[in-house]
Amino acid sequence: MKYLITSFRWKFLAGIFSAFLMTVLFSLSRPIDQDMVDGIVDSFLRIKHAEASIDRGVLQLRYYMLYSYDTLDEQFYIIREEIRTLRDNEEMMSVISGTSIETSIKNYEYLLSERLLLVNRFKMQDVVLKNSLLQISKFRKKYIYNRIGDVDILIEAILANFFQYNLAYDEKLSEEILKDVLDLENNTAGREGEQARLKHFILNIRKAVAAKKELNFILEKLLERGADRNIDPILVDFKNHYNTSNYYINIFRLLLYAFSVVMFLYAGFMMLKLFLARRRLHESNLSLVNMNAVFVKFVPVEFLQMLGKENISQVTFGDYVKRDMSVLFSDIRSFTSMSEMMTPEENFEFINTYLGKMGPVIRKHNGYIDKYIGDAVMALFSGTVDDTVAAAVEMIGTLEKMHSEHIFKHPFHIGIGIHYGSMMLGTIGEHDRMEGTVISDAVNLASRVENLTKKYKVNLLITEDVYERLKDSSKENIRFIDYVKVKGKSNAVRLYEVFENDPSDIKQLKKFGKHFTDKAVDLLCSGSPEESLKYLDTYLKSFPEDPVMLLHRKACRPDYEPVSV
Amino acid sequence: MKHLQQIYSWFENRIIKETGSSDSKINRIFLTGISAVMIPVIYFLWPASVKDSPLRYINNSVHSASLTPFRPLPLRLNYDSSRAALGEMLYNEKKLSPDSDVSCRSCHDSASFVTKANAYRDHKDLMKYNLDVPVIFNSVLNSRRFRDGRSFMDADQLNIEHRSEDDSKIQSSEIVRRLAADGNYKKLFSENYPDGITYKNVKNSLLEYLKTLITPNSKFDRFLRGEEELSEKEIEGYDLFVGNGCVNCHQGINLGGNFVHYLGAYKTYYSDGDDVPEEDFGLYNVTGWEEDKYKFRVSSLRNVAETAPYLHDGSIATLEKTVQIMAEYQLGISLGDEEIDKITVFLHTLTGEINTKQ
Repeated sequence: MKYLITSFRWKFLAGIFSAFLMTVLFSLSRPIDQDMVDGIVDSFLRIKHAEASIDRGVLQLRYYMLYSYDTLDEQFYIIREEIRTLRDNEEMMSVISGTSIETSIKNYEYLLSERLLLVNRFKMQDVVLKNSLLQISKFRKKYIYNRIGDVDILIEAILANFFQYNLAYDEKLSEEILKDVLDLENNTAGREGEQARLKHFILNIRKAVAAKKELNFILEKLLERGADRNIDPILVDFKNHYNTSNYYINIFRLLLYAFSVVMFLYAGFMMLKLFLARRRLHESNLSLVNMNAVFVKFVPVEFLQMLGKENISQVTFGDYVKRDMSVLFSDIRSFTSMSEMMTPEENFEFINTYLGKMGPVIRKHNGYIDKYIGDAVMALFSGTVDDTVAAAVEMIGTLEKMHSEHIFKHPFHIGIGIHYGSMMLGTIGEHDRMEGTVISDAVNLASRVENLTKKYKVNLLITEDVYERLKDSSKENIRFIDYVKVKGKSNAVRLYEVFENDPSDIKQLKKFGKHFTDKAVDLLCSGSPEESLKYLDTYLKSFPEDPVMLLHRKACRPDYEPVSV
Repeated sequence: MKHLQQIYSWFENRIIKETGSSDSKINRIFLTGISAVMIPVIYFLWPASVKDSPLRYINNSVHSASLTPFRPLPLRLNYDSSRAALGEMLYNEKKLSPDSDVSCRSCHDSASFVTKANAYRDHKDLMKYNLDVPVIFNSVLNSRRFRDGRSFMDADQLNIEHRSEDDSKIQSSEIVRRLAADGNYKKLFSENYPDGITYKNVKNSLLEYLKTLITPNSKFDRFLRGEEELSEKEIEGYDLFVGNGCVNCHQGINLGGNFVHYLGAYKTYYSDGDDVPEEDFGLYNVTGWEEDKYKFRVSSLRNVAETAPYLHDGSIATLEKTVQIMAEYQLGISLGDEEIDKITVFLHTLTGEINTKQ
């Protein structure tokens, strides 16, 4: 599961990162600046419009009486400006078209200059024609037809033909007009007055005919060299190149975009998977934590710690460790007779109430309960022996306190035995069913020492192994009471009583008589009962009820044998 | 819907297989959420360039042009003020002339309508022929430059190539070199132009300055704007001006300056047989084409009453005489004294204000 989560996270991060990268690439993948292309195309179009406006303006100027060439000048100005912007964007255009656009622009400029010359010629001829028309119409207004004659008829014919000619260019008509003008000149050749009057008229007609002819030529040339022929090829070329490059670029960008979308989806999918995996992990982790908490109740943590294991899953069959530590046994006196008086439920309640108070005391003094054997408790202490003795003392004290609070129906006593020795901690059993346990002589001895408390009618007994390891300060309320022979061991073991919990008067008596009792027991066990008796008697004078010493008094015979356990 | 369900179940199976989860409700909610988010995202983020192309504008073509015969001068032209300030410095700068002895302003005064007399005698390095020095005002609105109209008004620069008597011009590199030697110019140019001092930038700044030299608010302009009325005589002069055809050439915003025309369109002014000096050949001196002989730029009539003498060579001293000559040679008509007087009165309304504080 852990591996799965890690791998998911990397996939997810990679997905997000590549999707982000793709998106950035997508937004950057615009080699063609759209605005610039817009500007270039706009320039082309403005040039085209300007050219069309020139054509339109020329026609308007020709057929309407307009008195300004500003429009034409403006259009040429606009075209020059646009060519300048095109020159500025030349690099861009070359990128798009793949070839230098400069040649096209130069060609266009040449065509434009041709048009400019034509327009200038047009301006001049237009002025002449307009002026002539003005003069002719003025002449028409002023001329008084006072005689019916050849001249009037000729003038009328010329005027009629001329205004028709002015509307639409006609070569034949112009020849006819010029012929009539010649006739008119010939007719008035001899007449001075007529000649002077008609001089301007004839001049204007001739000028107008020539101007009209010229204008017609210019207009034809201008219109056939219009925008369609000049700018359109460049524009179409540019357009085609742009479309082609745009097509490929768009395919690339579309792929990039699609890939980025796919990556986003993939990242989303990964996120979903991650979420679900996390949920499942959380659930299983929760159940594991619960299970562990239960396991700890059955198998003490300290036991695992001593085995050097972190949790129960690491414990394998055959694990063991050897350690020196103190072991405490406690037992309820005459529990069997007590339990006979109680129902099973009461029995369990009684036991659990008692053990419930004892357990915390043991843990408080760095011990742990190795096992419960019915009403008996076996506890191990990895700390100092002082801790163990203190725990035992407090256990007894706690029980007395419970009795004073009348928690139990029937008051009872407990006996505690403590021993110190080397022990083997480990697992026993078989592969599929095992148990943590302690295998040691020390445990047996502690158990037997506990049993001796019944004999000596004391609460708490410790062995010499424990006594020797105690601090001097805590030896105050401890007295030597007996040697015991241990089965299977050559040396006898010295037993000590801890009377810390006795009532204060008894405690005082035992404390003051400690010198005598120590001596007496020592002498008794060394094989001189007579001398021991002296000490015992002296002691028993001050405290005649001491059960241990009374026991020794009885045993003070020459055939004294130490108790064997 | 059926297909959607199939897709859902496929995704569910995949997820259950990979994660071991059997919580299909959660899966469904997530998949719905992802689709609900991603589908609009896909729709709206679809590559924009696929949808639109700049060529979609191709058919929008409407361009309207003003068709009025006369327009008043604008009160102010748009120009770059800092470049114009630089242009003013250059306008008064003598380094632009070949011998560094004369500035633009020495001949074309920018504070009055007076132009230098006897300029040809004093500055043969700048003038090939003995022609009248034109005034600088409103010249930015002309479409042709110089008396013979040999160059067009460019969009972004002022053509200042005067020709000397021996047809040699001052080199543009020489002007740039002279200006670059001056630290002040170097600083000003680098402030105004990214590429510093170049001949093109010199001409551009001069053009910007030229845009400040217009004479708006003439009586005729105010009349066109509806601010003032013309007198009876001036109106009659205007009618004669239009009715006799002067307007054919003297048209546009500057009443002229638009194109070149023969001097002597109706009556020969210079006949070939005469001993015509070379300076009167006009545009022919530049192009060499026979048809360009005696062609000169149609002069602007703005401030015409103040800019005597007249014609390209300054040969005519009075306005009345000029009107008479123009009518006779350019229009082919003869005008009476009264008519000439009326036209002259009208021409006086074209005098504008020199606004030096623009």
